[in-house]
Formats: sequence, C-alpha cells, structure tokens
Amino acid sequence: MQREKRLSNIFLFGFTSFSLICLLMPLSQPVQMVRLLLAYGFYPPILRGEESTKYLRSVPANFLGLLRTDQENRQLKEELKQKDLLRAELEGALEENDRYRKLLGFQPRLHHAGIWAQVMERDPIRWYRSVLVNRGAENGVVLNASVLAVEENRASLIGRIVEVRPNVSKLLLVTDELSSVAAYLKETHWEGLIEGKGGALLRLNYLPLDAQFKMGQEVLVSPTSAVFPQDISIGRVFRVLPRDPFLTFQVLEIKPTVSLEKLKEVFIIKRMGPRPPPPLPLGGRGDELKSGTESVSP
Amino acid sequence: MKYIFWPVLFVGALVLQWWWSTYLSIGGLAPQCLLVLTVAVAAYRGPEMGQGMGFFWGLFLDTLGVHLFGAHALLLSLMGFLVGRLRRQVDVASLPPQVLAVWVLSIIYSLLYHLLGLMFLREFLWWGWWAFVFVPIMNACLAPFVFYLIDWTERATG
Repeated sequence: MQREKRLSNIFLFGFTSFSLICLLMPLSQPVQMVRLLLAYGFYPPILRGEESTKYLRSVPANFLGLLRTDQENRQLKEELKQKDLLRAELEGALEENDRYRKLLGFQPRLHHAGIWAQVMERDPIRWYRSVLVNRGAENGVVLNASVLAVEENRASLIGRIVEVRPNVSKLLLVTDELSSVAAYLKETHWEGLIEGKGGALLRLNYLPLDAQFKMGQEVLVSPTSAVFPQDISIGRVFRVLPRDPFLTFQVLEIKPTVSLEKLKEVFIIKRMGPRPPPPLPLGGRGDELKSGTESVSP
Repeated sequence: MKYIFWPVLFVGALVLQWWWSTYLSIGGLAPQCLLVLTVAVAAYRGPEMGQGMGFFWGLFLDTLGVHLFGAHALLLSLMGFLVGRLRRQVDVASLPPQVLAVWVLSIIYSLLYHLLGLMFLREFLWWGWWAFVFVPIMNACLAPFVFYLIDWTERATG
C-alpha cells in the first residue's frame, strides 16, 4: 500500500513536471523534439486507421461495383457467345465465298444445266458411300441425276441421286459398292466398268488382258453410259492389279479426281441436253445463276 | 494475454478516440473516450497504471492539438492519480458511481483545461456551452461499457 502510494507519487511528480515543462516552454527545442518524436509514434496508428476506415467505407460501394461488374460480365459473356456464333457463321460464309469464287473463276464450257448443292450430312459409317445434299425435288432434282464436283478447276463425276425428297436428296457416291459407271481410258480408249469398293479407290473391270496401262492415265465416262454424261473425268489410274488366273480381264485401281473426303459442294445435273454453243459471257452466266441454275462442264 | 491486452488497449483507444471524433461526432461533439478509459483503468488497476495510461493518452491528444502541449497529459495523469487513490473509497463495480464519477470528472477536466488555458495562454479556451454540458453526459453514458470492458479484462487475465 505504502509502496503503491510512493510509486504513484513519484509518477505524479514525474508526469506533472514533464507536463508543466511542456506547458511552460512549448517552443523550446527539447519540447519540440519531444513533440516530433510523439508525432512519429502516434501518427502511424491514425494513418492506418484512416486507411482502414476508407477501405471499410468503400466496401459497400465496391460490393455494389462487384455485383454490377458480375452482371456486366455475364451480359458480356452472352454477347461474346453470340459474337462467337456470328464469327463462326462469318468464317463459314467467308470460306464458302472463297470456294464459290474459286468455282466461279473456273471457266466452264456450259454443257450441262444444273444446280449447286451443299453437302449437309455425311455418315461416318458410310463415308465413301452416300451423302445428303440440301437440294431436292422442289429445286428440280430428279432421281438418277448425275452429280459432279469441281476440284482444281476440273469437274469430275462423283455419283448420282438415288433418293429425292422435297428439299433434300441422297447422293450415291461412285465409291459405293452399288455404283457402277461405264468408263474409258482417255489415251487408249480401252473401255471398262468402274465399280465402287466402299473405300477411297475405285475399280475398273473388264479391260482386255493384252492391254497396257500407264499410271496416272485419266479415266472418263464412256459415251455408252445411259445415266451419266459422257467424257466427264472420273479419276486416274492408280494401280494395275495383278492378273487373276481365274478372270479373263484385267482390273485397275482408279483414284477419283475429286477428293471425296472433303466434299463440300456438288453440282447436280438437271438435264443433259445437246451441247450448247461456246461459253457465254459473264452476264449471261449471271442470269442463269439468278434463276437458280448453273452449268458446268468437264 | 494481459501483456498483449494493455498495449492493444492503448493503441486501440487512440484509434477509437480519433475515429469517433472524426466520423461519429454529433454536432462536433464526441465523448472523451480516453478520459473515461483513464478513469476506468485507474479504478481497476490503481494510480500507477491510471496515471501512466492517462499521461500517454494525454500526450497523444496534445500531439493532435496545437495549443497547450502537455495540458491533456497533465490532466489525464492527474485524473488517473485521483481515481487510483480514491478507488478504495468508491464501489467501482456498480453502475451509478461509475456514471457519476465520470460525469463529475469530465466537468472538472473541462474546467481545469480552461483554467490551464487562462494560465498559460492568457485566454479562456471555452469549448462552448453545448460541449460543456453534453460531453460529460456522453462520457457518463459511455462509462458503463468502458468499465465493463476493463472489468471483463481484469477477470479474464486474472
């Protein structure tokens, strides 16, 4: 108790003396120094407090801002999705445009009237057999119509229409086992029958045993074909198969002129009339395009 | 715990006083948290602790102000001494003595501060009637909470 009193008296004396000195000599250097030191000690908590208060006061505004940003983010994501779709469509359209431009750049001799169609469905199981195209009876497509495709400015026979619906048709590719086309070799005029194998290559049968063949020879549709227009390219000799002693003819493997794996557009022949006069100027061709029909030649 | 509590209380009280008078003042009036705390600390911990805390809290108030450097330190250390010495005569555990003590000491504090102004600056640093009347009432209202905090800490830290 006495110790407490004594200690408190000492404290009282010390604190009072110090305070009185400060009060009496506020402008003296030691007091100014003390003041400065105290400011160094006391201001940081105030500064931190100020920063914390600012931070806390900005929390509701930040939270609202965050909500708004979230909403905006969602909206922008939706817009981005739409833009992605649009972009995909645009890219498709550009690609399509490029292809069409390439096709239109091709100078055709207008032998066959028909319409362009796009491949709209391809079954992976029947990759080399059939495809669906987006033109049908309403567009003038008829059963057994010949179908051509153009690659590197060359038209080539790729099959015939086997099923016609109002807006859709099924195209049986030449590579299907059920396909067969009377064909001949362009240089030697040996004639045979092309049949599909269900794969990427074709098979040309019934060629004479004594005939000689060169790789890369072009194979065209024979004039004897009742279904397909004559002289249209089908493919090129890829391989001469070894002679089968049980067969009385030679067999060639033919590689189609057009890569059927990347078929995008096809040309469906609507009529095979007599050969029209030489190529029309661009204006005439444009008129035909407007009417929804176009022509192509081998 | 008790070694951490007092430094934390010291700094926390500084920030609370500043924060309250900056952001929560009503018509420019805010309770003197440091005065109430000095009284409460002295009532529970004795004159040394009361004086010590009061003195340094007072220095803080003096550092923030421009006039009378040392006045708050002197007055708060005196309050701490006075309450610490008289704590055995007053029941600090009950509410009315706490409120009354803080109210009376607030008025005395205010008057002494004005008197110090008159002595050292030759002018009466009058805060106005509103402050003279309402700040002691605000201090008195705050007193039970501050006393409860110190009491709780005393019991918690043993």
